[in-house]
Amino acid sequence: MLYGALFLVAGAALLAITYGLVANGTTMQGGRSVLITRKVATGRLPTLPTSVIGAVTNPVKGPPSATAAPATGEQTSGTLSTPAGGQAAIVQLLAYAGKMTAVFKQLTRAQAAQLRAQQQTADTRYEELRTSQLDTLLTRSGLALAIMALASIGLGWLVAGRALRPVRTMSSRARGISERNLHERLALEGPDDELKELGDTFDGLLGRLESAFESQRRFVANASHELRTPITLERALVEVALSDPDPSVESLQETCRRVLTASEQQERLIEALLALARSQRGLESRAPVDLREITAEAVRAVPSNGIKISTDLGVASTTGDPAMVERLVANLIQNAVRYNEPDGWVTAWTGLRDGEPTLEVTNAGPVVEPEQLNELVKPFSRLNGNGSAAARSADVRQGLGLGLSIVQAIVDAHGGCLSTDPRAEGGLRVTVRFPRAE
Amino acid sequence: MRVLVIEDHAELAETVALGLQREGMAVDIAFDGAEGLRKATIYDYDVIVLDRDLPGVHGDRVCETLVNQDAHPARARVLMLTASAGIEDRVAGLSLGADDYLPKPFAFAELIARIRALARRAQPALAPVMRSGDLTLDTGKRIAHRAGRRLDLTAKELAVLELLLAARSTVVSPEELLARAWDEAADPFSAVVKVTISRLRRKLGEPPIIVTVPGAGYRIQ
Repeated sequence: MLYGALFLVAGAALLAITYGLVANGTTMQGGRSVLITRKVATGRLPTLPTSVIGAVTNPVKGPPSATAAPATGEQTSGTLSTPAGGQAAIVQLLAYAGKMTAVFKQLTRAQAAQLRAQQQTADTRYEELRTSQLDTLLTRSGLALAIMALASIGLGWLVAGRALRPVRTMSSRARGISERNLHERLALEGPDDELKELGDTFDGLLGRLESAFESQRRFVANASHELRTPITLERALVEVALSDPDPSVESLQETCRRVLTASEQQERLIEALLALARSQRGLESRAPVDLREITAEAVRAVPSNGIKISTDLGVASTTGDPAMVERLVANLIQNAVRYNEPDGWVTAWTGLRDGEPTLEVTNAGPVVEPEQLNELVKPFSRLNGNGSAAARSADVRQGLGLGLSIVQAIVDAHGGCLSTDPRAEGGLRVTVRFPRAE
Repeated sequence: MRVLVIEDHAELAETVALGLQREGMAVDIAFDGAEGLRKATIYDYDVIVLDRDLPGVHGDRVCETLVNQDAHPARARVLMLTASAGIEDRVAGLSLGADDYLPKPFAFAELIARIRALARRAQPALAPVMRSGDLTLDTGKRIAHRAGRRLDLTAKELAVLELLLAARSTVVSPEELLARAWDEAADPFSAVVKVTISRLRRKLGEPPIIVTVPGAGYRIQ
């Protein structure tokens, strides 16, 4: 439509200019019209008197036919041989000249008037012709312009429509995609041009959105799933206590204590979930983080449960969120202690590796399968025991299954790198590399 | 009635077992799928309460194994008790072969009612209130009447009476009574069955309902 309109405007402009130029060039202000035809009027000229003619043509002899002239009033003695005759001839000549002049004047006037009239007629006819020619020019080119405009609009519509059909397809498909059907794609077929690139880029965006939504959905499902366990326990404890046919103060108190423990577990779970969500949001600001000091503090604070914890802490600093990093280190050390073996050990190392501040926590313990490692970082998974008493110990029960996923989220938020390597002799080595402090 | 609870959360498993025992059921516990399957093979249970999220063997696999390997009509009924509560989860669980599905958190009274309902589905199906002559036993309310008079029976005595009535005058051996009214902690060499039967007879009064079939067991007259 746009191109058609442009064509129309251009054509109209061209037409206007042409019209203007032609109109201008053919007005009568410039030069005389070439259509004027000169028509010389033929009138009657006064005749010269014969005596004068004779006197003029034959000054010595008298006029040949004047001899037998009767004595009329005619002064025809006109021979130029006598002075009186000469004078009379001159007077006659002068009179004739005067008459001629008058006649010429009349003639000229009449001629001029005639010429003017003819001029006027010619001008009028010229004007008429010019007007009609201009009108024809206007109507014909107007018609041509209209036809061309229509044709170009039609053609433009067709061509643009075909070229832009992919855009229309994309629009209609994209309109239908919402968070409920993010698995759909635009999937443009056709030549490999910019439009297809646009469509493919959009599909890539949809893919990323879908996986983000999916992981969020999974997280919410898992979180509510996990929260059901302490709630179920609390309820069962209370209902069973109420159904006791012979309750005593001690048994009721015992029930209350157990319900309290269950709600504490619930609180810890909610805290951990919030920490995970916060870490996944990213860092709001960066402050200096002293990895060495934080690790030392975490080792001091964690209950060792008979596990020997040793440290080798070198200088390591980065920037980020100190509270998050504290939680990260605490989680790693707690995990190392928890998934350990009786009389086992844990070592914590900080320092610079290739200029990057690094924390490494190693622990002894049961052998970890590589497949289990991939699962560990996902929320709510735990290393599964094999029904042994060690797996059922209270410590393992305390685990929420969120520790490593929180660690991963915090590492990602800081732009760092987390790696877990099983040790051949059993146990795990977890390495966290932070980016170089600027 | 003998019930197996397969649940990896130890405190919850013990609390549920305690509550069921108060209702007169004999309850065994397993903390993971493998142990649950092992016990189900060794003992006969009326109902198995199964959590789906189990370490080791997943609850779904346990359910499949239980349902497929034991085509006996009197096999244990499976009640899934699990935090997976959505519609798809429920449909999936029932499609795997579970006989009933109860999402967590649950009301204890409902758990008990559903377990009893499943136990009644033995073949032939049993009525909730069992009668024989002038003796009635309401299995839901755990009350027995004889000739209109209410009987004061302990949970174990009620359980034994229920088993005898369910057998519809066929013989029930003492071993079977032991297996179905006592849990795994019972000592098979003790005289606990004999003692319970004699106490029950005394409370039931005249004319005697329970008849001893020498060398075979007991039955209702």
